[in-house]
Amino acid sequence: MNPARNADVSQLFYNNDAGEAGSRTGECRANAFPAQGQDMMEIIYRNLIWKLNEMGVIMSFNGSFTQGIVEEIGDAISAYLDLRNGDKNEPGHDSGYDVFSVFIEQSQNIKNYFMKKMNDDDDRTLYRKSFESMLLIGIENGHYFISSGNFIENTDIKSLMNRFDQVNSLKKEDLDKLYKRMLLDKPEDTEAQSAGLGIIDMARRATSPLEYLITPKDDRLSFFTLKVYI
Amino acid sequence: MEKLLITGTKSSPEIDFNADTGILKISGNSYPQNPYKFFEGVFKWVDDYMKTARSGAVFEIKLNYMNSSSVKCLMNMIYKAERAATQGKKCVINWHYDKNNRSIKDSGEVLRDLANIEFNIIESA
Repeated sequence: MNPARNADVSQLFYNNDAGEAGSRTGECRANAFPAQGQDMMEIIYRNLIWKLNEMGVIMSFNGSFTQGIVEEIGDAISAYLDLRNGDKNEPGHDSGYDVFSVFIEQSQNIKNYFMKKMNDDDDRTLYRKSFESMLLIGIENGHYFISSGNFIENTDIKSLMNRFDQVNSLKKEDLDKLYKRMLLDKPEDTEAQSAGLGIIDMARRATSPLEYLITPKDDRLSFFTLKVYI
Repeated sequence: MEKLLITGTKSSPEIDFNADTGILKISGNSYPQNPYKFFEGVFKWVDDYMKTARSGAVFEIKLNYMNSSSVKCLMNMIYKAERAATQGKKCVINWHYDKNNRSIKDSGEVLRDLANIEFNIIESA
């Protein structure tokens, strides 16, 4: 079982067979190794750069999210959006703040998720998995998209799905009411509150339902990808 | 009471609280590593101020970006201001937004709808 995973470009580097990775936007053929010198450059161009371009990606990051990284990428995105904000010909010329917001929410959700898991659990397996997180920002069909992917524990799948399904089922007015209700509630569990509020916030800014995909890896972990269009 | 001065960083706001004038300024960006931890110290100062002050406070809030946890923290701040108001210490919130920043304006409007104290939304050039 090898389902299509748009965000899992890191896999292309480590496949030793001549593998084929399918994707929604088209076929991408991973060349056979040896990855040395010229061939390595070829792989970087053909499989990564070309693929990212094809997907409309402007900015990508893979690795473990730290607060510092979130700040620096935030700067880079701000600079990019500032150049485009106000230019009436650019897609969503006034949606810069929404793009920035959703980027911050997604990356901090990932960072906080792994931080909580590290505190709860001495197992280094999950720590290594935090480095297999990814974030993409791009433009598709005239809309900005912010997409992220990270490993999650299977025990968290149900509650995560419930949150997303819930916000996706609500009309704008009801989403606003839910947001306000969560703001009013006195916090018992501040972390659960934060994750919930962040998801509602993204849904309020999005121009379409939040898209997610959960790909099982083994009996402990799955890979969660999220895509938000602005 | 001592002033509360916290220098702003890329992700945490500048705090300039003056107990003598009763003007409490929050500005910059707010998406710190742990918002609840950041605002813990701020809240403690506000609690002490409300206990000792003879009059209320004017919050001058001029943020560029805030994440959802920070909005929640500000809501908690508003609760404190409301409690102080019930003890005769009138508080006012002035929410400043840049005219191109629809996002922050929206956050202000949400908080204004939930606040039971005077809450002004002011456009700045």
